[in-house]
Parts: sequence; C-alpha cells; structure tokens
Amino acid sequence: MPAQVNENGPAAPASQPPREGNFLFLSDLLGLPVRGPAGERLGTLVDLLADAAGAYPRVKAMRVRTRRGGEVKRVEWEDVDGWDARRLRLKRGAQALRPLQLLSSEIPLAQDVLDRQIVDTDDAKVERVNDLHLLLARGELRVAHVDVGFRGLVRRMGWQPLVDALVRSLKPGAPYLKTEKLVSWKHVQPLSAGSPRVRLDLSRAALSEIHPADLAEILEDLDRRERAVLFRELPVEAAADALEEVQPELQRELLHALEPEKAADVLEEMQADDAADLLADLPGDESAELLAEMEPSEAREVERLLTYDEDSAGGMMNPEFLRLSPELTATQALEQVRAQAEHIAHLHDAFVLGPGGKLAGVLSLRDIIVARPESRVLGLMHDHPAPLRPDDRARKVAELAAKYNLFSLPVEDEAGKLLGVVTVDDVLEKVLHG
Amino acid sequence: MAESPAAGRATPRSVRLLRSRWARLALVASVVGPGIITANVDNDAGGIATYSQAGADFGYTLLWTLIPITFALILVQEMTARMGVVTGKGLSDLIRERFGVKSTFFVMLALVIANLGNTVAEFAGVAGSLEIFGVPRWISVPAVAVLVWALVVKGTARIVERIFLAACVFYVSYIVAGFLARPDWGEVARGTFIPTLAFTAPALTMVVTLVGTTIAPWMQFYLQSAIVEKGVRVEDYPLSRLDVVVGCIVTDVVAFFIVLACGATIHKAGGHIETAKDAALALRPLAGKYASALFAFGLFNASVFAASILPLSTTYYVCEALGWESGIDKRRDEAPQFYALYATMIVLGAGLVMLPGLPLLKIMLLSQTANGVLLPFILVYMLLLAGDERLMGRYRNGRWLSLVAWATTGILVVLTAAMLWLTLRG
Repeated sequence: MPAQVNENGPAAPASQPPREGNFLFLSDLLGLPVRGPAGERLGTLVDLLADAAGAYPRVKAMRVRTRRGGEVKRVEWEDVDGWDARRLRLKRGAQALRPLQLLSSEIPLAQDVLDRQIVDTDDAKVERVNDLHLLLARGELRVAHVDVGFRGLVRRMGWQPLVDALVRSLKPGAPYLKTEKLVSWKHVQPLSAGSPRVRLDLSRAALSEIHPADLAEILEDLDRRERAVLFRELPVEAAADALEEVQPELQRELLHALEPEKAADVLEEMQADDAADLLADLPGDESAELLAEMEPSEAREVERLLTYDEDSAGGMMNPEFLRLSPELTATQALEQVRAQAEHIAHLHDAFVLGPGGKLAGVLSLRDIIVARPESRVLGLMHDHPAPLRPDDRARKVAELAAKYNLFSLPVEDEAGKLLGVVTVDDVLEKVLHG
Repeated sequence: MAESPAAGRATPRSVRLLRSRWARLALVASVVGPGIITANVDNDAGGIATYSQAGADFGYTLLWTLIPITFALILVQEMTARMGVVTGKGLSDLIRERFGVKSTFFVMLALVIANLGNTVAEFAGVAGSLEIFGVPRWISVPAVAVLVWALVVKGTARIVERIFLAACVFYVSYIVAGFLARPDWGEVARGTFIPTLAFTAPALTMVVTLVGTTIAPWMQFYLQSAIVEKGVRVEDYPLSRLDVVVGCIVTDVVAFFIVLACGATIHKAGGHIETAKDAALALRPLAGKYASALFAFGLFNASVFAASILPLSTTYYVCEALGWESGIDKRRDEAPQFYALYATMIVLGAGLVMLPGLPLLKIMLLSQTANGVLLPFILVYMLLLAGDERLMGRYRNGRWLSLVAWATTGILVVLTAAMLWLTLRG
C-alpha cells in the first residue's frame, strides 16, 4: 500500500548530521564523497551492505570507490562519524578502508535492489525499485521501505526541487506532493540471484499466501532470472498451484528451473490432468525422466491421461474425484467427503460407483447435506444427464455443460467404467485459449 | 481390456506422439522469427526512401557499401540477440539495472522522439503508396491507424507474429521490381564488388545515411525484447543466431534490389527523388506500370508493418524501463502510462500526416537526428553489457569479438557524427 509520508520528513538532507529517528533515501547517500577525520578525500560511496536477517535490514558496511574508476573497498558502518548533504565523514582515515568482502547474509542495496524488480507480497505485484527509504534510529541505519513511485523517479533524476516547485505553483493540493509510493520492506521480496537465503526464508510464508492466479501473474511479469529465483523458493504446493495457472510456454520454462526431484514433487502435487498436459508438451526424454522421478501411483495416473488427445474429454478429465458407494447413509457419505477431500480439487459432485467400477449415479454435496442423516445414497442419487466418452471434443463438452448446467461431467469407457471427471474450469480454459 | 483405457484408441496416442515429434521439429518455429522480422521492419518507409535515393542519385556506384553494412549489422544484432537469450531481459531493463535512472531516462526520451518521427514516416508511407492507387490519405491513414490498433489490442502475440512473418514475404516485390527494371548486370557486378567513392559532400552524406538507416537504435531494443518474449533458451541460441544472420542478409538483399531498380531507371533518366512515393511514380514511365505498382505495394506493406511494431514496442520499453505497468492484457486504469503513450504515438503519428502544410520532411529529419544521437550511446552501453562477465558469464564478448565490435562501433560513431554535422549544416 502506498504510505503517507510527512512532506518534510524524507529527502532534503539537512546540512547538519541527520537527527535521530529521521528518514532518508539511499539516493541521498550514494555518490557522497567519503572523507577522513582531517577532511582528506578517501573515495566515493557506491553501495550500502545491509544484513538481511530481521524484518528491517540493518546497514552494516558500505562500499567505497577509492579513486575515479579505481578500486572498491569495504568500510564498516561503525567507522562512520556522520554525514551531511556534501560529505560522509569517517572516524579514522585510510586504515578504515578494508578489502572488499560480502558476508553471505548481506545484501548490497545499490547493486541488488535499486533499479531491480521486486515482488510486493502485500499487493501481489511486481514493481521496479526507484529508491530505498532508510530509517536512522538509535545510531542504526535500517532499510524501512522501497520507493516504487513516480516521485522516486523524479528524485533520482535530481529534479525533485524543480518538479515539486512546479507542481506546487500549479496545484498546491496535488496528491503528487503528499504521497510517496512506498512498500514496507517486510512485504518486499528481492529477487536478485545472489539474495541471501535468510531473506527468502523470511518471506516464504508471505509468498505462499498469495492467490495462485496472482502468483502466476507475478511470475509472468518478472524477467526470466528473477522468475527462476522466485519459483525455486516456492513451497511445493504453492509452486504446483501457480504452475497450473501460468501459460503453457512459461510452464515449461519454470519446470526447467527446478531440479528433477523437485519438479517431480510439483507435478505430483498438480491436478493429474494439468500435469499430463504439461508433460505432453515436453520432449519425450524429459517427460520420461520426470515420470520416473514421480511416485509410481501418481505417475501411472498421469501416464494413462497422456494417452488421450489433450483437447478431448480424456485429456481434460481428472482421475481423482469424490467416490461413494450406494449403500452409505448420508452421515457416512459426509464422513467420506471429509476423508477424501484432501486429494480432490472439486467437491461439488459425488460419483456413485456400482460393480466393476461402473457409474451408478451422481449426487451433489448439497444433496448429501440437506438429506436426512439416515437416508441412503442409493435413494438420493440420480442418473447423470450427459456422461462423456474419452474422445469427445472440448467443444462438445462445453455445449453439454452449458445445456444441462453441469459443473462436472463423468467420462466412461465403452463398458461404462468410470475413468475420470471433467470439470467446467478445464473446459473453459480449452474453449477460450484453445 | 478394462485395464487399459488406451486399448482400441491407438489413434489419439499416436496423434499425441506425432504432435510431440512435430513439436521438436517445430523448435525452428519457436526460435526463428525475431531476427527476420526485425530485419524486415528495418526496410521501412524511411529505409526505402533512402535506398531509392541512393539508386536514383548514384546509380550502382554505392552498391558495394551494402556489403560492409551487412557485416556491421550482423555484428551488432548478434550481440543483441545473445544478450536477450542469456539474460532473459530486454535492453531497456539491462540499461536501467546497470546504468541507473538518469541514463535510462535520456535514452528513452531520445528513443520516443526518434520513433515518433519514424512512425510519422510510416504513415506518410501509407498515404503516399495508396495515393498511387488512387486512395486519398484522409481515408487510408485513419483506416491503417485503426487497423494497427486493432491488430495489437485484439490479436494474440502468436497470430500477430505470423502475420508479420507473412508480411516479410511481400518484400519479394522489390526483388521482382528490380528485375523488371532490366539492369545491366555487368555494371551491377562492378558496382557491387569494386568499391569506389567520390569524396564529395553528397556522396559521403548518402553513405552515412545508408549506414544510419540500416543500423538503427530501436532495432536493438526490438530484437532483444522479441527474443526474450519468445523464451529462447541458451541451448537453442545457434538457431537464434542463424535467424538473425539470415534476417540481416535478407534486409540488405532487399535494399540491394531497391537501389538497383532505381539505379537502372531513374538514375539513367537523370531524375531526382525525395520520397519513396516519388520513386514509385518515377518508375512508371521508365520500368512499366507493374514495376511501379510492385514498388508502391512494397512500400505500403513495409509502412503498415513498421507502423504496427514501432509505436507499441517503444511503449513497452519505456514503461518497462521506468517500472510502469505495461501490457495489452492490462486494463486501462491499471496501466495508464502505457495506454497514454501508445495512443499518443499512434494519434500523433497518423495525425501529423493528415495535417495539411506540416513540414513532414523536417519532422523526419528530426527523428533521424535523434536516431543519430542515440546510436553511439546504445552501442557503447551494449558493448559494456555484452562484455560484462557477471551478466553474461561465458557468453560475454571474447577478446577478438570485443576488439572488432569496439572498432566497428568507433567507425559507426564517427560516421553518425559526420551525418549529424552534415544534416545540421545542410
């Protein structure tokens, strides 16, 4: 969410050392001349290194370029005496310049965050970082927000005084003057390939709370490297859900970003029909390798689906669906629903199987809930109006679903054995996107 | 029987296997396209005008310049394509991430100005070519503007790319027009393989303009984004490189035949032309109505083609580099800057051509100047990026390639500076 910030709070570095509890921007510091206690010029500030641990990373050191185009050195933050708009002063001279070094928990802010893509896990959006908003408190400098707004761009151009004055004279109450589009660092997922793991662990929980459709959109908006970094860090379930939602070309790319073992885990977690669609698009040797990595039972299911044309009912059907037997009472049936729910994506309709796995009838979850507890499934179920054959085309399936207002349609073989169930979401996708 | 659901259904299975085999053969289709399309958009209305002028004013004597120009084009485009494949990022993103906001802003500003001018040139090309067939510009220009908008907003990327690839085929019309002009092939061969250059201001200006038209800054952005969009993998890069090289050669073969057609006719008759429309008109009495019609048709095709690509692609780079929401899949209120900029490019591009009495030549000149100012920066940024080990790993420019690339860039920068000096002076 864009945060409201006091107009005089940020920016405008004072000519005396910054006061406690003050906000400032990374762009105010970058490029400052670094001077020793006697005022001797030591170099130029080029980057800040912040410890990624904790909700708001603390700046621990900085990178200083010694001469123009010269060597870059590391200076610990403890050596900083103070700064103003024109210089940054150190407590000691040249001996504060240490060899360049980056601890594994440190993020170089200018190199890996500034100007790069991040994920705002709160708004579920990809943003480009225009500036970093830092907070100086109790002698510590911490990263508080990233600036993704227009005013940040203007500030980076060095035109803020000019543009501000212009806007103020034209329209004193303009929202531009009062709003900074800041994202709290706790919602920021940096994605530079070198991001310390500690940061990724922290935000993993936040990432898995994003709706799969939004996550898919985020993955589509990111550049390829950032996309791979993000996708590798997702927990298996979130990865599977997101993978079901992204476009087919991207599915292949994302699957390639994973180690075969994790890729197989993700495929197992996906709905079998989606997994089969994805595997069908891969080269034969790759899909064989992934199938071999999968749990045998899951792999068998997917392999069976692979034998159908993907635009047919057989290719769209899901072999996992709610199964009941006719002699159960409504109470028992409800227990069955609870027991099977974990593996089944859609619980709207239950399918009653007779001898030999033949479809005996269907009933909706609603039928089970509103029925008297002791009534039998046999009495509640009815015939399905439009059972399908595996080679029925997507178009026909869509027409039947529309005609009878169906949410799910069973697929039977010639002998009447129930093979799987097609749900309208799969049909919609096929009909809309081919 | 009941155990195997596939029994008796051998056909779908083989269909699917066949399809996956096709998919592997279709790897070609999944990689090829960006290079050829980029190269052909390069022969847009402005390009055709330049080549026609080169032929009309200098006959076959400048044909040889197309050979070194082709090499330079291949060198630059290969680097761009490689960066796209390896980094998976567009050029504007890379510039933003490596060189910061200021550089990005000025590069984008120059790119917008240059491409706005180019778009005006494309719509002028539409107006000019259809006037030859008797369609007045107050019909043709708005119609094409709407067509361009619809193609991009309603079409999917895959369909649009196919249409564009098909449009590339129509450039053959220039090759046919070249043959219809009945050139003296001996003279043509001499002009092609024996470099000669009169050190006069008009001849030098022409050479510099030829270089500037062929190697344009926007191409680097477009090609790299198109390759990223296609998701070409590093393993498939050799195919992508082939696409780029073939594209560059095709571009210059088309350019060659345009020079040829005008050299064999207008130059022989001692005529002079300013625009591509002039060329098509001048061909009529000299090479016959078919050559003239083919020339005009080629111009129409090229102008519509480039008018579809330039405004949209420019809008994409600018929005991506500055971190604004972009994409035709976004709603208007989600991506306001994107739609505003795109609409501005199209409305201004088409609108300026419709305004009577506007100095179109001046506008195109301005855009050429913006191109010229931009090119050295783009090339230097590209070389720095392509040589960066952290970014490119083992795909960075090697020592020899670096040397050749920097030398070529040096020559291009000098030539561009010369062109700017000459145009601003003249």
